[in-house]
Amino acid sequence: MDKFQVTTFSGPTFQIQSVDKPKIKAGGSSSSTLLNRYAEACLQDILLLSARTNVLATRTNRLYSALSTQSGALLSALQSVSSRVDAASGYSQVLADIHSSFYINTGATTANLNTTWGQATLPIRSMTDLLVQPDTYGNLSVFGEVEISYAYGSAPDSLGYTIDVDALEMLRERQFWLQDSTSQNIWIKIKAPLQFRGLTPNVLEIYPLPYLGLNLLEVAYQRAGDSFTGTWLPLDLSYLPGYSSSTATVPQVGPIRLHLPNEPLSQIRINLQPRSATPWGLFALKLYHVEYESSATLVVQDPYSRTVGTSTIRGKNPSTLSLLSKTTTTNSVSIALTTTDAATTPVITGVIMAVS
Amino acid sequence: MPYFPPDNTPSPGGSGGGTSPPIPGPGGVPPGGNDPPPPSTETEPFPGLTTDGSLQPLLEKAVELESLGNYLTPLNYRYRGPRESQKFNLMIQQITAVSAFFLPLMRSAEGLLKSCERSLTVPTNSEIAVFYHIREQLRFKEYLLLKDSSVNWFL
Repeated sequence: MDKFQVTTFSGPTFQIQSVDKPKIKAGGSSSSTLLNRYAEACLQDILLLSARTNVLATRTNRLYSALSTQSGALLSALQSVSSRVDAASGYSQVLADIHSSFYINTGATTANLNTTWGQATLPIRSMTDLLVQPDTYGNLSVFGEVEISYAYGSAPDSLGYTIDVDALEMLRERQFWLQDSTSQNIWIKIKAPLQFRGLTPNVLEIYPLPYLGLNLLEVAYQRAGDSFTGTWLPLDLSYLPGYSSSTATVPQVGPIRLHLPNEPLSQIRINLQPRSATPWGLFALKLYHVEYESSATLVVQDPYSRTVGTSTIRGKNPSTLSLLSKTTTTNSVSIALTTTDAATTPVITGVIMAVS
Repeated sequence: MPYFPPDNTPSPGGSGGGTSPPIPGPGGVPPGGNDPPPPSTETEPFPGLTTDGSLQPLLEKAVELESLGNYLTPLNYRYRGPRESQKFNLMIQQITAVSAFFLPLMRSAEGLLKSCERSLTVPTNSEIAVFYHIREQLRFKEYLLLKDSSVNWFL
């Protein structure tokens, strides 16, 4: 290599960018000259690295400013469309979904509302992350037994998965987990510690990459104590946004929150289907043990002050939800959420109201 | 706290740093001995640094940053004589000081890159919530139009 050729820091191994590497040899330049050149090269290297990093950060920051401005404009336009959709609800029945507060009497509601998940639950008393733990410096560490692996095609056997340690960096919120493009079905398996710090997982959050570019076919789990070749128990997906009852899948899945049966698990399996060949991955994956308050109230209303007649609660286990106490007054419906088990909650995703 | 020379002005015969007195060499030979002085590079914008065109903008950016200009001044320490170890130490201390100054800056810039990366690639919760809301409302109205008034299919 030409001694004046500039090497960069972008190689697989870090290389100091030096224009001239000093070498001490008999009969060569004096040691003072070499040391001066060496010190100068080191200082310039550090300076160049810093300059490069600053330039990259500045450029990214500019990109961020431009895109967030554009994103804000798009969001504003989406909200405008949303209000038109709401205003067009001139039917005899309306759906009060939880993705918006348009139909919610927020002043009278004490239930926990999350518009991203579109779920109303009991207020959260405590939330414990079961996959990562922060240290005193704020760095997240992943529990040693956690593994994330993936496979393609039809349902793989237990040895058909490839473990990817990069996914642990995703769990630590350091970077996304991104894999090469594929059009095959994707299987993601999360092996978790059996004890989960003594707590049972009851909430799973999945942030697929890309949002709305994959179909969710299945989320299943294995009970702790089962053999690794044991039965996979599928979770109920029917209360997720966009669920298709005809295919029993979630087309164009975005970020979702699933409620688990609150029992010890050993493995979780996610089956995704690309809508077209696409790079894929996960923005994040969270597994929590959540404890809830024992009671709360959800009040939905018709914002046009029409009189509400019959109402039906939509969400996880509709037959159970139908047993919740409801009180209808003129244009609103008040629903009492209760539980006798702090680790479970009713999950309401909407209320269908007949209005006149 | 490492020692950091306040002025990197070349000081032929000095100990290199501007704070220590000149150190006489053995037999009256001035520090630096018979080493030829380094070629003058004062007229070069970035002395000792051979670059291709692609690095030029970076270097210009570099000198725009406050107090970085001094670091590009060529060194001319003499590492000879009875206090040679001190001169080695000076060089190491200067590299340490420069590293201590720049590495936190790079760490900070990396943190900015990380937060921007997430903001640029992940739709916000608000955007997703509005999208979900519109989709659920349209689906519901579509079913109302295409099916019957029974909502059992939508539970």
